[in-house]
Amino acid sequence: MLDGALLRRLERLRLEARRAPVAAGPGERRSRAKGRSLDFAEHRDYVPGDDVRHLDWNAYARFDRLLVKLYQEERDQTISLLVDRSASMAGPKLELARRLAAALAYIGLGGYDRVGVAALGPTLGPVRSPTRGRSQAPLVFRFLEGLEAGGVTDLDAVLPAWARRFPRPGQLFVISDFLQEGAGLNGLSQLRYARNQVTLVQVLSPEELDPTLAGDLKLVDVETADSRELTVTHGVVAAYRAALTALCDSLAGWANRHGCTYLQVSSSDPLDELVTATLRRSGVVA
Amino acid sequence: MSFLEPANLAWLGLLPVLLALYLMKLRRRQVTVTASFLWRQAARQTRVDSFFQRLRVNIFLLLQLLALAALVGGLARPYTLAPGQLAGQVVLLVDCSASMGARFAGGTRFEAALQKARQLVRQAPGGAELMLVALGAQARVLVPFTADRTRLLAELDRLEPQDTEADLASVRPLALSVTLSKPQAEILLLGDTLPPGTLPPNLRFLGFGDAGRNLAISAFQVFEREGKRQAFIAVSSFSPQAESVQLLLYQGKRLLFTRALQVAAGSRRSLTLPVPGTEDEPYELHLGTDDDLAADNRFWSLAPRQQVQRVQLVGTVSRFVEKALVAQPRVRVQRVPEPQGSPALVVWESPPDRLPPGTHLLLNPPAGWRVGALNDAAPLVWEEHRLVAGLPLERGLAGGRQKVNVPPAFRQEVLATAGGQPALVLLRGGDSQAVLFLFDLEQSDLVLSPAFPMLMARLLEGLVGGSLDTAAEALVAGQELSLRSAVPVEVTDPQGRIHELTPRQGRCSTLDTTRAGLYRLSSEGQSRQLAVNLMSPGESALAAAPADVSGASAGHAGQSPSMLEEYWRELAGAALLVLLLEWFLYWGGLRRGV
Repeated sequence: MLDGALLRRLERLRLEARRAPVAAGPGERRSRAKGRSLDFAEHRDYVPGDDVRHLDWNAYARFDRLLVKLYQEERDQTISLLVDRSASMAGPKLELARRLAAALAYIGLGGYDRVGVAALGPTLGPVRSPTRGRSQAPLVFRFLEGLEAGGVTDLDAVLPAWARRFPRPGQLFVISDFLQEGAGLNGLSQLRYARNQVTLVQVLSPEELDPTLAGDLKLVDVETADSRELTVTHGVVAAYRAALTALCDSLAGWANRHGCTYLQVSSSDPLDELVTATLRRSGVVA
Repeated sequence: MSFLEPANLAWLGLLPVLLALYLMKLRRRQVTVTASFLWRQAARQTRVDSFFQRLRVNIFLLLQLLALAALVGGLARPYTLAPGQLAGQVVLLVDCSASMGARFAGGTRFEAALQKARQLVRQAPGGAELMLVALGAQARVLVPFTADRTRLLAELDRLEPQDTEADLASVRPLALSVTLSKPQAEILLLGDTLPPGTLPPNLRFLGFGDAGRNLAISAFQVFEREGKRQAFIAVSSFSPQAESVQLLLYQGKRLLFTRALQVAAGSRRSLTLPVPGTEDEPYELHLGTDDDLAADNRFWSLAPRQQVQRVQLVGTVSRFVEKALVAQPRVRVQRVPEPQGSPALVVWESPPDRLPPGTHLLLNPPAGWRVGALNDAAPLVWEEHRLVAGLPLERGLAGGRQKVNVPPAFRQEVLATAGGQPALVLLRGGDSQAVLFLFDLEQSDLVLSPAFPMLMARLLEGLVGGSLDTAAEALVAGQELSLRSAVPVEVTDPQGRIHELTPRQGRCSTLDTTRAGLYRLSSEGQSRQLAVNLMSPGESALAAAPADVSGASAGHAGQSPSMLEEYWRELAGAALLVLLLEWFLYWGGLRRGV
């Protein structure tokens, strides 16, 4: 799925977390839980029962108050890769989505993060629960290779299902074309309500970005098989582009409002450049 | 409003077919897309925002239905009846005389008359019958009474002006004959000259023409005097002011000279000029002027050499023979001791054994050819040969008959026999031909026959192409061309059209001389030219024609039924406009990207 040279380059990368992780056990990421580490976080008033070893006597001398020093506790984080496998993703789009998810998973596993993968189809699944350790990478790759496109994906339905099933917040990558009415923003909002750090990767094909259709056509939807007769003129194509831009803008606006990251990629983009340049520029990896 | 072709309204049945086709729409190419909802939005967007898109949906069908309806309406030929001009039976008499070629209203009088004639044909009531008569040198019925508009229009399209006078004298008899056969018929004369006298009551004159300035060649003849050629030229002015004109004389395509000439208003200038050239080619005189009538600015004259044939009599040729030859037109007879120059015919009393090249009439056989004499007289029996056919020759007696041994170089054709022996033979061989008498004319009563001069004329024609020379050298356009000939004659007119004249009772004639110019007469390998010219002061004087003169009383005019006004052109134009509008809207919409 990923060649050796790319894997070597990925090993030098790590996923950046905009928000501190909230996870169960200790790991390599700073968590919002104050605990045991060398990094000072803040003071708070002493309350009976606190470990007296953490009293800051210097502060007591200066402020005449008993203050306890709190340290940033390092915990691991859960990285979830949600890959849309609807019929509209068939072909190069799903291929790029699978490889991108594999690359992110490899980076995450290499950073000792817990990495879970799920496919977004007509229903949520299949799902691979979060696991940790680079040794899990081949299993994750095999899982991704087994994904096949088909059916209708309603992001507004399946994303809340994920949030319900995995309520612990983490870093989420939603890789989809988001080509549905409303762009699945309701579902994405459910993810944010669950305090997930969400990165949206919209994969579109060149034909979707710059359609070459013209003339008297019968357009059939690849997912729903709904058909519509339409005389496609330059004006209609321009209106389509405007509608697509509006959809993408709504995604970008939502991401901006919620402190999330939105990336639009073309299925013709090379994965190497996508990961090492585009994702790095956007601050997703470092 | 009624329809001339109501059956064509059945094509309106195409309207529901068009509607059905529109509803069924086109078969569309199927394409799979990943985001049909975006295309739906795009379609909604363009529909909502674009005026042209709405037009394509609604107006196009309406326009197509409208265009089809207009087209079918036109096919049905709707018409209304307007206060009328035409009767139910109409004779269209179109003046085709030379003056109709004069300038008028941006074209010519003839074109204006034809345009009016076409309009009358098209607008005639549905049941009306029309007759078309061309009035040139003679009145000629082109189309008898018919309701077939197409045929009438086709004949009008073929009609051409002639270089002749109009036979206006035939208008009155024609009107009378039409009145007798079709009492209600109306005659419309479209021309530039009113017929003489009072107009018949059923005749209406529609005039075309203004007074114009015109110069005409009224005479031109090249003749020979004392061995030198001279040209007599007369130019007449029909202009209200003095005119300066250039005379250009051509022989063939060669310009011989030009000469400026001043002609006072309404006067005639004559002059005689020396003419260079000795060739036999005809002469052509041009008037270098841009006057209103071109037909009388050219004139042709044959070279004088073509006009006279020299016949030489060698020896003591019989007086009867000499008189018969002298009586022939354009023949100059000379008595000579021996042939001189290149005469057209040599008549021998005692011919030599070896005939010189040329054409000969041998009144006796050469001495060297004789093989015996037949002293008894025998009646002449005439053969069916073109040289003697049709002549009123009697079975006269022939005495002093000779038997001859004709040299094998000659091919013999027997014209008459006597006593079973050849009496008159035609000899052809090498570069000479001859008619040989094998009996003594002095011992025959043939010379006393009234047919003898005719026989000599026929022999002259047959031997030196004389049948063609019996035609006139020059004719006025439209004048009858007539010549003596026992064989068909081909006449090639100035436009290159060939007319074959069939002999009737020894004569060929034609009236197809309506074009001025050089005609060529051809028969049996011989040919000659004939000059035909417009010589008509009446045609050259361009006067204004009254626009509309009727011989009918007011009551007569009121009896005419209504005139037809057709609307198919308007409907066809409307259909075309609607289709153009649809095209404009469609492409306008595409250009605006909807």
